[in-house]
Amino acid sequence: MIRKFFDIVANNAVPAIFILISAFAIPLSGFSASYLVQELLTRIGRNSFLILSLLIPIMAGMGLNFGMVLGAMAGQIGLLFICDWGVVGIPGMVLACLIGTPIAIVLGIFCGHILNRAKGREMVTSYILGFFINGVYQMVVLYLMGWVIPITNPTLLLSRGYGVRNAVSLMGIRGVLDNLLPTVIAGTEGAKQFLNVNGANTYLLLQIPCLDGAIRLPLATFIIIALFCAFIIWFRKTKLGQDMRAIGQDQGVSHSSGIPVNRTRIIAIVISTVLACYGQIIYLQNMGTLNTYNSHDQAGMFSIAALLIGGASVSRASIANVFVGVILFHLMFIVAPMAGKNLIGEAQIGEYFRVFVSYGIIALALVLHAWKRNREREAARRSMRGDK
Amino acid sequence: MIGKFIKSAGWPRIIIAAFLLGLFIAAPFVGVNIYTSFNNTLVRFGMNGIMVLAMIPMVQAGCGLNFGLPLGIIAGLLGATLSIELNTQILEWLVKFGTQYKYLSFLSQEFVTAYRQPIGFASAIIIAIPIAAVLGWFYGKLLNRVKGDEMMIATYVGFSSVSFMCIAWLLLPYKHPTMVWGYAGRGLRTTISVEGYWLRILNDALAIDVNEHLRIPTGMLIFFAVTAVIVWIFMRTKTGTALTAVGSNPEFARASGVNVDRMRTISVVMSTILGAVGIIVYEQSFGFIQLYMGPFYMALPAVASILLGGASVNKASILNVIIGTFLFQGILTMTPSVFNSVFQTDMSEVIRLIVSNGMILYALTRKVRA
Amino acid sequence: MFVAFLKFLMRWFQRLVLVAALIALGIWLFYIGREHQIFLDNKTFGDFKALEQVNVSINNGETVELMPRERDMKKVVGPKFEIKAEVFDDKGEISNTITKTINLCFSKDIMINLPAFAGGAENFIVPSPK
Repeated sequence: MIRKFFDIVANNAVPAIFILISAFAIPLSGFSASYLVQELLTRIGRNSFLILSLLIPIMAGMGLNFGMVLGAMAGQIGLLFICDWGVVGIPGMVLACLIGTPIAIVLGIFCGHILNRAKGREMVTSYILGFFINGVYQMVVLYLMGWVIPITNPTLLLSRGYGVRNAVSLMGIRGVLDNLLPTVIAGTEGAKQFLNVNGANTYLLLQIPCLDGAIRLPLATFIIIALFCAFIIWFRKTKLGQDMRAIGQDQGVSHSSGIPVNRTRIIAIVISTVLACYGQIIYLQNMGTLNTYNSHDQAGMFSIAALLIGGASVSRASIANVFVGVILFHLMFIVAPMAGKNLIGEAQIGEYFRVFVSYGIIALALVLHAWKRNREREAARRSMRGDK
Repeated sequence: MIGKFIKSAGWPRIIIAAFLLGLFIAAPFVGVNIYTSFNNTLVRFGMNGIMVLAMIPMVQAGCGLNFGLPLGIIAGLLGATLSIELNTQILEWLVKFGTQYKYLSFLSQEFVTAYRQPIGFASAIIIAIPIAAVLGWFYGKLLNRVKGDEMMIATYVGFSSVSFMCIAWLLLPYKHPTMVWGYAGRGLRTTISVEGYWLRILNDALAIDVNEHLRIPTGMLIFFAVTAVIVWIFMRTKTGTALTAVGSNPEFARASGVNVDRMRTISVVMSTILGAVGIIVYEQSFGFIQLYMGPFYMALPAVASILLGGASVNKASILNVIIGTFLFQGILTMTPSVFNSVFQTDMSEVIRLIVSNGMILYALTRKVRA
Repeated sequence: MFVAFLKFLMRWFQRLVLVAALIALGIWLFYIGREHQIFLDNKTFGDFKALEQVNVSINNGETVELMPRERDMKKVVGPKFEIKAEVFDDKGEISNTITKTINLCFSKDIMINLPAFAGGAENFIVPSPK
């Protein structure tokens, strides 16, 4: 009974804490409902794809793929090239994906091999691998681009003639996916205004009378995300997906039943890396600027924090966790600085609180998972000895 | 013979050592003063040595590499800032003790004023140690519950404690005018100068000027040596050997009556204390206390150093610390100067990232118990 | 044995076709998605004197007015664009309207010398400024 209670608490502690924090912080921040909904919709579109890319390695029992930053870097290299060539719009985005894919595959295979050599320590290894490849990435982008790798657009390069600038404007592809199918949800008044300004090529999806203002919906991005979710659900049922789940359960048993364990693990990481590459491209088309040397760092940390906040653990994550997580995490993201400002008079506190929570939540989730696993292991050992 | 050496040292170490050697050979030809480079390497060796030393107890007790070093660093930062905040009070107390107790009568007003700086430095360490011990104790208890996942959790314990302290630095009631933001009158500054308190107190103690470019920071090196000897002796006491036994074979250690969890906690406490002392030594040489996100990534260079020196995830010695810190800091000081004069660009940041993380990666992908 | 070899060959052939198709897709995307800067220059060019006033619109977009020695820039996406130039005489009336579709192919930015363009010269495309 007590154990059962403990399990329920342990499984849902993280989202519960978050709902509690948000319940306090939202009124404190003083933001309007329509503002919050707008921000949330934007952020769901921006981040979900990145977070979804984490699911497959978890399924294969490899824990949280901190190596997803590798994919993010591959995506950024694709974006740098299309910026240089001046390819814009949807073709630009697709081309960036096309360039990023082979890079992501190579990095994914490399990551998979490394992780196979560090079984049981995948997370810390993939985490350090992220830093390592970050060094290589910086070497390529900061020293080789414009020198060995031709970059012709001078606005991309540092004044010394080689190396990419810290901030690259992605005006050419900014919002192209989000605004591909322009859609709004609006109140009666807001709808009129919105349609007046934006003309007939905007679809009014839903009219809610009580709403003030209009909320833009990045419909095309949502469709892509929905397709991705469908892919994951389908993938779980394929032979490969089943193999991955078996490996996630027990590597030894899987091996003896003829599943190529190492190869399947590499495939899981490659898929994750490639998807993270696309995720980063979607993320950056929403942002509109690429911070050449930081964007990918944050991608990994925030995605993992969001997934864990959604109630996922190191060994178990579902699509629902992704969306619950992205909503709760970004709700806090939006309201924390304002709440901090209104509560203590300093926005900086809210900012730091947000960072603290992101890291703290990852720590907490990791601890809960390891603790639970060790208790189970202990229980198994006791039952093997035969005493209750 | 050579093959065996390569196998035992590992390719990455040999490549990195050869790289450093190459840098030292190249230095005079490209107009880099070898004495200046050596001086910088030595100073940075002394600055970072104790933080690298902090890795030993946890590695030996089987808790893995202490990616949670920032926790110890935070204790050190608390000690450092408190020693400045309470500087005048501490000096007053000492004078009061001097008048009250006969055997402390050497603590006269003149004595205390004359040795204001060493007293400040000592007080920073003395305040930091108990804080580190308490934090380390909780941290150790936590790590005992998550055996097998220590390194990842340690990383995030480090990160979350640093970001928690970011809030605390803003809110803690520090008052000293050199430390708080001038306009608000509260909240600690991001960097606090230790000038006038204990700037370069160890560096300048007994320093030997070899020539105008090379000044051996004898005091700091002695301090490192003393700490190293203390760790060395500790590892050879009964507790120390029990600790190593836990690391090399926990089942066997349990069977022979060693309290595994207790040993692990002791190792974590020790590591945290060494981290706290280490950062204070670092600051006295660096000249500034770096708060907020300052300690965030400080664990990685320390971890990389000890691995570079030949340690593995579950075995480390003092020699590993000395060799590793020297190699790592040598590369950090040599690459900017040599690369700057050859390529007119500073690649040191990139090289640091690749070398340190490559080294950690190499160690993590080794088989644990060969 | 032979069948196995054929299968092996087939596999690689399929992969090759796939890679080739992806590269072709990339080139096509590059072709249709590239953004070009079109510089419009109203400057004396050889025998063609700078025009009194010329109104230019690209792809039926917003019209730009160019006086003598003026230069402007428009951005177009994709390899083809339609340029329409209305040349004014000194009385302020339209004397000549020229419409032309220009194919940029794989080049990036171009400059159009308007007097030459209006005068019907072949070589009205000049190198774009840095």
